[in-house]
Amino acid sequence: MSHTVLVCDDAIFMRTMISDILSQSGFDVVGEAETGSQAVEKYKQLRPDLVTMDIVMPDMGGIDAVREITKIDANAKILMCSAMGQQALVVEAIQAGARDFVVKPFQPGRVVEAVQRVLGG
Amino acid sequence: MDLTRYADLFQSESKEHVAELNRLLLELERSPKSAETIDGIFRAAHSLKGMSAAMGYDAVASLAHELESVLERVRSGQLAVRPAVTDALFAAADALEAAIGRAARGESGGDAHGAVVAQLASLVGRRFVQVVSAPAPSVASPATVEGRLVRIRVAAETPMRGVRAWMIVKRAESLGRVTSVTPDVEALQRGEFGRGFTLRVVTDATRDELERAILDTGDVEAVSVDDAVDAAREPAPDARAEQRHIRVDTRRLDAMMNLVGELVIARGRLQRIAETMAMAPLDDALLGASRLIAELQDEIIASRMVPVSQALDRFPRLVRDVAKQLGKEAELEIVGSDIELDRSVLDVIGDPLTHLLRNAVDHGLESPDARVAAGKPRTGRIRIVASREHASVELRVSDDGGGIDHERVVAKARALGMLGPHERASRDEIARIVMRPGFSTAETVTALSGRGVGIDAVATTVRRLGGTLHIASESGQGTTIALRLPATLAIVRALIARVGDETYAVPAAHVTGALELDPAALRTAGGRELLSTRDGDLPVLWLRRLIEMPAGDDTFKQVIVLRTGERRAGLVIDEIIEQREIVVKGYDDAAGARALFSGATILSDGAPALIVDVGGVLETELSVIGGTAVHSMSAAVRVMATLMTDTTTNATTNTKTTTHRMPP
Repeated sequence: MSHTVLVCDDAIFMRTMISDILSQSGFDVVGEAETGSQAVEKYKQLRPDLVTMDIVMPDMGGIDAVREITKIDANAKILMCSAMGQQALVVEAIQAGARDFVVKPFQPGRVVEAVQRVLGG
Repeated sequence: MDLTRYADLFQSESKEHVAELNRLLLELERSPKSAETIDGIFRAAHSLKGMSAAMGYDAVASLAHELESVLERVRSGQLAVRPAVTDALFAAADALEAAIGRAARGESGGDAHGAVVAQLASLVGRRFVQVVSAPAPSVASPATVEGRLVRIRVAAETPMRGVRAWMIVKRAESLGRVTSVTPDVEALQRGEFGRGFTLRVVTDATRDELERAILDTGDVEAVSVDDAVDAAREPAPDARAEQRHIRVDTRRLDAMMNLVGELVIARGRLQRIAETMAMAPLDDALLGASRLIAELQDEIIASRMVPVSQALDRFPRLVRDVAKQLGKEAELEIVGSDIELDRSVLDVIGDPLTHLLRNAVDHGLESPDARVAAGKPRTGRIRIVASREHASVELRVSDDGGGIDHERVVAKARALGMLGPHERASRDEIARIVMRPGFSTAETVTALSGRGVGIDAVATTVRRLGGTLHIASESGQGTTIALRLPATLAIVRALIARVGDETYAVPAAHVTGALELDPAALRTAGGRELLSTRDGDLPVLWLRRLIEMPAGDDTFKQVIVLRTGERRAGLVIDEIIEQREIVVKGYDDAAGARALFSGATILSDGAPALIVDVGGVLETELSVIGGTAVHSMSAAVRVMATLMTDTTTNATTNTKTTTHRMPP
């Protein structure tokens, strides 16, 4: 059975791109979220195997969403999607419980590699 | 025996020896009693002597011989290393380099090095009674170094390598107690390391478990665990020594790169044809071929990569000489010298770096007395930090001198008419003014720099390579100039965007995201158009306007968010078509034109597309100083015209091949 993924990003462009990359590699994108709080809600509902999380989102940011989600499920596997230059935020997100990160602009190979790493570990 | 075929080999190898000689002489100047250094210098001189004698280059051989004799005395303790000695040795190294060059050109040296030889001979002739004290026994550093030594080498294209390195250290901590990390964790997090770093960890995990855990952190190219705890010699994490090398003519590498570039274009074309045919076996065969082409491309790109040390190694000597000439004291530190760059990029970047370093010593650093008065150490510190992020390499040249004098720049800019009499300039604008052609704040024109060729020339070179330059300066604290360069020139990832009927490529290295244009979120302020986004106001530029294309009737627009350094701007285009690899084609630089495009490419359908020069575009956005736009539309059009003719020629040749294969 393929792994389920929840994609969180406020830009449609980015969500579409990540979803395309993951579906083409056999993952099952079961939901999308535009804000941090939406991400938390959808996580409760869907319990996906993996979450891809943008860092800067309106309403509730990605890092706070990581904190909330890991409170609900300590084993949640979250992959941060960062823009270049956000090193400090990536470190903070990983300290908050995210497992790994990828950097925009995305290279499909790298995204899939990171997803497999997170799911494997 | 025909020696000519060895001449090239002699050239490249002797240059390595001269570079080594210079490096060791600098070391000798710092620690005049290091037996190890003296031995190294002796070895380099000795190798040169042997090689040049074999080639029949007598001038080189006799110089090397004199050098060797002096070192022999130093070695045996008959001659102490004093400034006069090091100066003579430096002069000998220069003379050697010159003699090698002349030998290669088949010129006879004549008596060109008479003075240097005499200088060396006099050092040998005069008997110095002063005896060098025996070198202090090397103290076995920290007596108890606990833990197993782990060497880690991260992959070349690791994004946010600092964060990755930090994660690796964290992973090691999860297995036991990490007793030391080299370089330290702070430097690692800032990405200030070459390709590798080392750590020591006390753990019960097996070697295999340890290696596996670190590899699984991701972006790790190699890891090795050394169980023997030997603190005395901790080799640098560098695998270079174990690799096997042959020398290849660089023209061969260039030809291979061009061919694989063409192959990538051909692959794209085949894929498009296959799409229209929908034949599963064809798709499969093509997929297999595509993988092989991708691998071939990676291999060729890797074979062209050389460590930046090849360009940087001569700089400590340069900084020393320049400082000495100016009566200043300066030290150059180089971090990340094993970071790799494409040869063609490295070849071009040497001169701009030389210029920046001369500037840093000449204009950046204060005189030793002024430094002491300001509470700084006498010796000025200049650093070059090379680091790699994603597909680009950053070279950061910084000094701890006086920084850019804001007031003086403003005064001069007013005098030159670049700034109105009552206009103020922000820090960012100051940095921009300094980069304007012909601007120089040097009040006295020294022999070294300030001859009107300023930082603008450096900026132009960097931009031509598709890179960006960023200046940051803090008054009294120093100046940092960051050059961001593509690690490899020939093939880059890009977003392909449509404007009207035309397609343009935007290098992905400078793209941080994309959004849809909401016309309601647009407003104009201070002569700039701003788009309000969740990250604040984003200045926007319309590519359509930059290329003077009449407005179309498309209602749907997208914005590509561009960023270099701290600068951000949105580029409005009609639509993003795809993200893909493009092959960069050279182009003729239109004289005096402000570049909007850095090159051209051929898309998979054979059509040419211009590559947007992100640095240039962002500068356009920021060049509205005091309400005077310096961007010239006609220049952009001229650039485009030359490019279009250039690329059309390419396109025609490419189409020829296509017509044979295209289905009717």
